Amino acid sequence: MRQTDGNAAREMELKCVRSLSRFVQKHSVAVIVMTILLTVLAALSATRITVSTAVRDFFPSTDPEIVALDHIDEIFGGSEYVLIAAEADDVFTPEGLQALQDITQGIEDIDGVHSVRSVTNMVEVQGTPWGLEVVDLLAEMPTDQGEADAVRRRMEENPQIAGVLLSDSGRYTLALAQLDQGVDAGAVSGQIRAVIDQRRGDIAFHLSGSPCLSKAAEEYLRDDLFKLFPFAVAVIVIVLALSFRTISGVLLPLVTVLLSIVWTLGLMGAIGVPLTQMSAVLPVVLLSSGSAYGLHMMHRYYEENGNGNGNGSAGRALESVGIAIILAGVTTVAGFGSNVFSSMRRMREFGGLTAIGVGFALVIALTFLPAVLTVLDRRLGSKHSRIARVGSAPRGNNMAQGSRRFLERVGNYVLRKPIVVVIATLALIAWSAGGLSRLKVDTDFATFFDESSVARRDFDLIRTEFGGVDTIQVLVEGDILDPVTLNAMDRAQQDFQKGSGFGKAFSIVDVVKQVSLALHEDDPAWDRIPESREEVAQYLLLVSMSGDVGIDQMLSLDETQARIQVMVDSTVNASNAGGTLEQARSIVARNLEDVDAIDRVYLTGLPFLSESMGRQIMASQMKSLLLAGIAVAVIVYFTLGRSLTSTLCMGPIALTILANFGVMGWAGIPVNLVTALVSSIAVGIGIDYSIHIYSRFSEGLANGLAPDEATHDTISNTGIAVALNALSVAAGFMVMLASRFPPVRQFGTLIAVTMAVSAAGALSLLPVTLLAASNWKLARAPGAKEQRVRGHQATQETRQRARGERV
Amino acid sequence: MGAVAVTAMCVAAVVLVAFAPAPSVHAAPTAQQVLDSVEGTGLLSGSGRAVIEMTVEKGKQKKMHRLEVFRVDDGKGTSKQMVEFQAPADVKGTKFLSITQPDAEDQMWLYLPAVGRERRIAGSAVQGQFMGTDFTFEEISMNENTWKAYTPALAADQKVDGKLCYVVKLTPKGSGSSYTSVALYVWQDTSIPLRIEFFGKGSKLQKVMTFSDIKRTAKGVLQPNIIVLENASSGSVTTVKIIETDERPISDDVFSLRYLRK
Repeated sequence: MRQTDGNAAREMELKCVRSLSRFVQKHSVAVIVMTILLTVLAALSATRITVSTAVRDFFPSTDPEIVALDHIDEIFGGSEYVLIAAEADDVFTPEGLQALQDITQGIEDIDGVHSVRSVTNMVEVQGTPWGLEVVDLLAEMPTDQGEADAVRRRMEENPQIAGVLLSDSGRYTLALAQLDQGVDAGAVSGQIRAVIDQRRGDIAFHLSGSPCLSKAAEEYLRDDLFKLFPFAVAVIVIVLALSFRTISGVLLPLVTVLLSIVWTLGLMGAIGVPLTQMSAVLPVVLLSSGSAYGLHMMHRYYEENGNGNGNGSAGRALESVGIAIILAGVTTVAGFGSNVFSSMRRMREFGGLTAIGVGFALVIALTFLPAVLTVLDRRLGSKHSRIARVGSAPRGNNMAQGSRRFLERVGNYVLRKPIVVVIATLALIAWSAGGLSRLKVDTDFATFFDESSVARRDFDLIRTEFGGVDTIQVLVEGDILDPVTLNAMDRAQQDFQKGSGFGKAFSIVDVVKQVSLALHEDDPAWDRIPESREEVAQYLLLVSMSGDVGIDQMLSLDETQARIQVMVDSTVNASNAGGTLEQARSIVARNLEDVDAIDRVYLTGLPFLSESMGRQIMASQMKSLLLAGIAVAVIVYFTLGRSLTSTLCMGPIALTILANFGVMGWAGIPVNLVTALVSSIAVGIGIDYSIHIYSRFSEGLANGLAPDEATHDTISNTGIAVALNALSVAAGFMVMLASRFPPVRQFGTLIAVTMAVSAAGALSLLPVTLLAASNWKLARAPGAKEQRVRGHQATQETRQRARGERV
Repeated sequence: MGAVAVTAMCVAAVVLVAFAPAPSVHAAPTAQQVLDSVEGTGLLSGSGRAVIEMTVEKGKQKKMHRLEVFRVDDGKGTSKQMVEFQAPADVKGTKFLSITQPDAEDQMWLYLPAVGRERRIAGSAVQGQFMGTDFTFEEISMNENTWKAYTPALAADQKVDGKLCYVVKLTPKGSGSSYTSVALYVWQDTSIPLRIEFFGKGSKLQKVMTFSDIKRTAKGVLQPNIIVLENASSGSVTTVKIIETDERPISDDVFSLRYLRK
């Protein structure tokens, strides 16, 4: 009964492909014109593509961390900073201070910059015999080195500056430019750099902070797009040239996949999905995974042509390999597409777009390509066919025969010593399991950059010298001016100061204490929060009338919200969240929760975003992997004769996934936004090899071969196709080794590794398990063999034609 | 917040119409004449008492102060102001005294009841910006001297709230101004400025001050009861509402440190 269902389904599939073939042949010109029109539209739409590399954009705007950050930004202005460091020896000279002052003012004038804090514009609350005064720390520019040195000493002694704008080592000074909320942070950081370059004189400045990293990522991204793509095209051209040795054999599949890239980019422009660090690899991924469909079509077309009948070869090629191409395409789409359920916006976009892109490549290979071949056949007639025949002639060369002999030996070995395969598999599993425990998640934005890159060097310098480039923010809501609240905030700040991984913490508490000191002749006993709410309010009124100390950065206008900003080492992420961020949570819980005057406390900031990203990446990865696995298993089950043994195809895939994580663990490749995509993609692409092997094997059995004969036949015949296919996909992805983003390089490497493992698994583990399953079945039911032969007879023709053509 | 700044400005507005008659400059005046007519009334001249409510809004945030203002001006460049905070409760009773004299630094004191003593505020604070509002003390306390630093030019007449205005474009003579130009919209019927626009670099509008809710007082004098300051770049808006005015003469005792501590 099942078998009959399967046959009926197959008949249906065949019927559909035949209709498609007839349609394409009949309306070939219309298909070509439509494709060109769509491509022109897509190309126009692609010009609207934007670039976005900001960390925040990786999250949906409804993410709780993002909501909290936006909330804080709304009250206090943007929470993104550009950090500008320079050597103190260079800055503390009359010229250096002048340059820094010019730069500070220049940056303040930039649209999108909210405020700048630098040693040249810091103010201090000073007590005077008659009151208090808010004075500029650098009221007058020094005229000689002696004065400049005096300024430096004064700054080193100032608690507001030491450790914040002057590094603990005293070697570097820092300026902090706070950006407005909702501005293009990358662009503003570019303007900041321009102002600095214009006015810096001989001083070297180092810029960092997420806007700068975002800007650098954008530059790298453009570089990658223009560099990787030609490489990938070259690889595909080489593969196609080696396969066909004809111009049309190279050009037509290449055009097919290029069109699919244009369509995908057009779609991105139309629906407003920007290019990101991840989509930099999109064209390369599509080239590598989408070129196979055109290649299969051409292969079969030449074969049909080679049989001496030029007319209608394209249609016949489509009819015979259509189903196989669709099957390969659908599993790949499932692999990429499984990422659309990720909670990370950028992963979702990437998964969706690559799935759609592969879908486009599939559609174009099944419509446009046969249409062009049909037209070429009609127009060029025998000439075109002749080239094709010549092109297909040299295929049985020595190299292929050598490979075949090698694979025959592999087949024999597998047959003779299945135990070796089993042991090797177990060893790989054990090795991978060992690596699994070493697997780390890393969402540090800085790891998108090589340690030797300028962006990373500046980032590391500022991190080392100033204890961090990011801040965590504690937003306290309630009756802020109540001394109970302020004292709680003060205790929290002191705990932050004592904790490890934190830099300086500051808030309105510092201002209140400064005023208190200033009003009491700097008597250390008054370095505290006053006892009444009225005193606090009047202190703040006094200081705000005396000058601008930046209260609006710390306290909301209605005095119901205040924030504590804490500098934090931004390498803090999911991998060591048990440390710093957990400390932060417990400091907040200990000091600020359960305080009567405090209604609510939020703890947020980019490090928390990173941490949340780490958690979400792992969850997303597991979800996508599971989805891809289920989707592929279902597809395999229904398309490979609905036999339970078809699920054995999942064996090499499971091994591949395990090996992927094993390699990552042992090689120290972390799970990040890009490498998290590998496993589900490997399922989608890698399953093809098992499908080839399984099809050929079951066909062998159906043809009456004994299981071991079928195994031998499968490995020696389909093996070369599988090996070549894996090799070309791996080669395509290896192009990514030229990327400037380390995660992209890791991605390319891992895909290449997974292709090798899934191909090797399909050539060794799968035959061994299939053989064992068949022998077991035979032993259990002596009549099973005849049953199988009859059952498969109806589908034999299709399978036979499809099988050889999937390379 | 921004108490000092806005206080001064409020008094300006109150005094402007309540204590000075509108000049007659109806027959196609020159830019200087229009400016002089505004000067003639004197933005910061006059004496009296007023109660005002000042609200600063930024996004969803809001803060209100209620202030009682006393002011005296001798018309020769010496002016004195005493501002008493009535609300919010935590600053109630706080008093601010400022004395401006020709050829002398401004003197300012703040009395804090919770601390129990007055504190002087440095003259340098005059140049600074004040919490909440984006206006500096100097900008708010515009007087005839302020406009002397600018070259006036008449632009085409324009209507503000349906009222025909002369438009005087003011360009700074020196480099001391933080603005590249200022546009003064003077209501032709009364010589009251209804709108003042401040432009920064690249002729970008930075701040706008508008005067509205102009009503006749019991004495039949026109008086704007709402003054709004908008900061185009920060998005904050300060609204000043005049609750009551009283032009009876103020005793000079009010403007003393003794009264401040009372």
